Amino acid sequence: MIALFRAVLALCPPGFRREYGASMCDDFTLALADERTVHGFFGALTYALGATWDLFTTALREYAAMFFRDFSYALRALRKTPSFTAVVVATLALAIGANAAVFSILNAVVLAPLPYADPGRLIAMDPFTKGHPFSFSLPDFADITASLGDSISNSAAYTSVEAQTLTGRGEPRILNAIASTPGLFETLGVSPEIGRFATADDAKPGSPKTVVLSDALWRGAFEANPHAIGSLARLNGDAYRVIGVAPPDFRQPNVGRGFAPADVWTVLPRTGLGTQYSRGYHTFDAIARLSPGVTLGAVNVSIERIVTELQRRNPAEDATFTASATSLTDSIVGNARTLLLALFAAVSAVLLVACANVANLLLSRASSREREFSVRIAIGASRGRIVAQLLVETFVLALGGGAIGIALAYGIVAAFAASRLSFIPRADHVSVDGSSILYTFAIVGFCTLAAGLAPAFGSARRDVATALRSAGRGGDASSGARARNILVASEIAMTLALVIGAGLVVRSFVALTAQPLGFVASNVRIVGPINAAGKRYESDAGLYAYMKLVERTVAAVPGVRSVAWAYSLPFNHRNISTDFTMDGHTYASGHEPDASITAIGASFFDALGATMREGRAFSSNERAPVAIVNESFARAFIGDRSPIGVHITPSMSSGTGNPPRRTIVGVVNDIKVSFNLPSRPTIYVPMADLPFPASSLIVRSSAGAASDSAIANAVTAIDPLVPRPQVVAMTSLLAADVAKQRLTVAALCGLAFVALALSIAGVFAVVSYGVTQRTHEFGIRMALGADARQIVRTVLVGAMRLAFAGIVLGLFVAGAGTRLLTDELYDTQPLDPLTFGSVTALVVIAALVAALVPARRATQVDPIVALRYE
Amino acid sequence: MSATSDLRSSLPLGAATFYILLALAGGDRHGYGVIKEVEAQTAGTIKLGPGTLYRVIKQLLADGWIAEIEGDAGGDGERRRYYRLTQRGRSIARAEAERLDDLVAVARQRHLLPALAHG
Repeated sequence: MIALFRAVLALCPPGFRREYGASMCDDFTLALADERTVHGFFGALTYALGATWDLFTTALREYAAMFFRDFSYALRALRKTPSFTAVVVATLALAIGANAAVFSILNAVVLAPLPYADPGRLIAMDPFTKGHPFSFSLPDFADITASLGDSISNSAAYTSVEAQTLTGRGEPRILNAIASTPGLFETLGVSPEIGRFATADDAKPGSPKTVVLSDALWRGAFEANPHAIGSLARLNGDAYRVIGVAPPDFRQPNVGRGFAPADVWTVLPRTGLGTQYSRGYHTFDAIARLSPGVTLGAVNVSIERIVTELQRRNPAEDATFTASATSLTDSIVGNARTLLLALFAAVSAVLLVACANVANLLLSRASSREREFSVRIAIGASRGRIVAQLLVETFVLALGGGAIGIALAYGIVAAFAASRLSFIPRADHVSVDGSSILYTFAIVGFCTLAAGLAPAFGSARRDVATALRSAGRGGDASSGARARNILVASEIAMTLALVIGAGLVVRSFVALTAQPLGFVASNVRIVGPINAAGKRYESDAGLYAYMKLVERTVAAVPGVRSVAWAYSLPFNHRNISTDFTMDGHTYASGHEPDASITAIGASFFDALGATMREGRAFSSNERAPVAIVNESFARAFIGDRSPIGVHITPSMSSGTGNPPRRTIVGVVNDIKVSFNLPSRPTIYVPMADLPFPASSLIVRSSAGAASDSAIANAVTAIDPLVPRPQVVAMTSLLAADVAKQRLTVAALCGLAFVALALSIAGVFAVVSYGVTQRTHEFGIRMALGADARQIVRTVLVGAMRLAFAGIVLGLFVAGAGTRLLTDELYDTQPLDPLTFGSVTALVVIAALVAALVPARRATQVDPIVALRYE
Repeated sequence: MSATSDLRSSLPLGAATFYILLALAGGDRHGYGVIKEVEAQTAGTIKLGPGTLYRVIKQLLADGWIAEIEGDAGGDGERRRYYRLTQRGRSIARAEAERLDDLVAVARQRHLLPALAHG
């Protein structure tokens, strides 16, 4: 009993224990004996347990009281030095705010589970051809899922259907539609908000067409009317029965990329007739749910076996087809994860730099308070109390920084969510939530220890007599100075690594955006896609007549100099691939070469400002089976001779029958379609010959944005059932293409700048402090005849020694850390010597400048004043 | 600052504080003596733990409501620390007792307690 009591007593604050420990033990022993005689063994036991618990709560209350005493003492002490407090709180607020913001983003985007039931069992099946990502055809999907049998409990294949126009519900609007085999929502484990989802019966041939609405569309076009269920929705002129509404937080997965915008879901039978059921029609994504106990590895073994079988059975379509399964989570957040982890590493480095800086400031502050501590120790305060009190002081500072930091994080996160970055899934969903606040508390604790431990112990360890004697004159500096030097060196190391990271992404960004475009982006505006749907436009002739009319009307808008239709435009990410054959070559079945293909109007190259290298552009209304190819195509497939007159047969064509054999009539320079993709061999065919529905207009206009609404009006005037098209500047498409890289550059440069500023302040503070400490020494040396230059050199050499220690360490950190950026860099090595060299030089110069100011002050020491204190 | 308003700002006292002040109002006692006295005052229902006892004693000493005095040597020859109510401590205890007395009077009016004449 008494042993337990003593054990709890050991937990009490030392001061309380020393003062009353013996009395408490005595009284406890007496009371216990007393209880035993009066109430027997169990009475004594009850008392002992009660008294021990009472002692335990007493200990907690004593600690709390001490903490609040120290807390209010710290507040008073910090109020006396407002500028110090402001600098430290601001430094920590910046670092903590950045960390809380990046954590909030990482948490919402990468760490939070996908919004599906039991997301750990969901898989994406990633198809490949010739090593690059590919899509499934429905027959391949059906074969693979059939062979997987019981390993998967559910599966679905789906594809985005471009440009579905909803009419009859207010203004016609373009919808993002998903056509899926039955079971998409069941696989994901999602229940409808109202109504139901499509079943296999809905997918039977001859069943009425059905559609599921997104919550947003239901609330918008259908005014949240529950009777919308069972009503008809008209998509591209066809009537669909509305059967259900997806829940508000549902997100359509987009395998390998994130989430896809989706307004409506239509249902496709798993098997059927028609082009979209052909084995060569590769446009589908596929997901599945693993049965309990089945691993990803086991499924992949099965898939590999089936794929080999498919390759053997269908050489024409599947010769180069492979597939493998990954977790759906990895597939959706994988891309953003690398970037966000790199950012997380960067903000962590900034946090360390900030802590080092604050520790430095606290050390200087502690040394100016030596007298205060010595006096307190002399009158009986324990060292432990002083350590505790200094730590509480740091905690108060960190807490202040954390509070402002959270506010800062709210701002950053709100701006991030508002900027709707499409390359980061769930970016609109990011918020500072409970876990962000918990994380911030953890950082506050970390900062308290990281910045506060060294100064607290350093101050309390000081010998009382020495401190009292030397206080007021720069004496003892060795241990404090060493701690300060280590802190500044590690600050420089972290900063160097960060600035190198920032330098690399800047260099990569410059290289990325300096790629030749092959066209003139300024004054080009993109209109559309313009979706003309309905009976009138079902025939090529009807569609093309409409396109001609639109082209003529838009050309008449003031300021418009050139107009052309096109399906794939630079930077609009609508790439279509086709197999083709070339006269004079034979191909093994399934091994035909492929190229990008798009239909264009006659003025396309003129409107873009591209250059014909050879031959001619298409003439107006040209319907002959002709083609233009780009330089990459000529280089890859034709070689040195002229491509003009060569015959190629792209397998893509309109209607039925054999695709036409086309004569190459021109060669155009490579036109960049994305900064992130190399130029692909491309075939252009005349829009008059092969009109693509839902194409866009490309307009060269000297009026800029001023002509946008006139252009959109011109389009809607022709057919009011065609949704009003968006008009955007080509330059904004270029900017959107590198939005991810721009974010990386902005974030890393911002963080690097903060770290650099903190490090300069750190070097300045530590050198200044050193100079102050050595005032006496410099005074003597000047009195003995040393000139100013020698003094400056002494100070600078000391500072440089510090900088070099930091730089050596920093180069190692950077060498390891820039690996994180490997996937984000374009045409730039993670160990790029130019970046490493120039950044190192920059940091050395920064350190020199920071040291120069205090060094010059050292030369202004008046020997008489310095020596007077002797 | 009048002395009474200062006194009132300390009220009401915590239960343990009032028990201890009451115990010391009967004479100087050492720690265990206080525990015994409180037990007697409350008909054996309250037996203070040493933790609470000394936490309150520490606070009372700091506030100057009680003082520590050197007591007689106990049976084992060790000197024990005794505690004595200071003038200030006595005023506070009285103020608390009056406060409670007023409340008891209200309780009698409302017939929660029999209207007995109180000495």
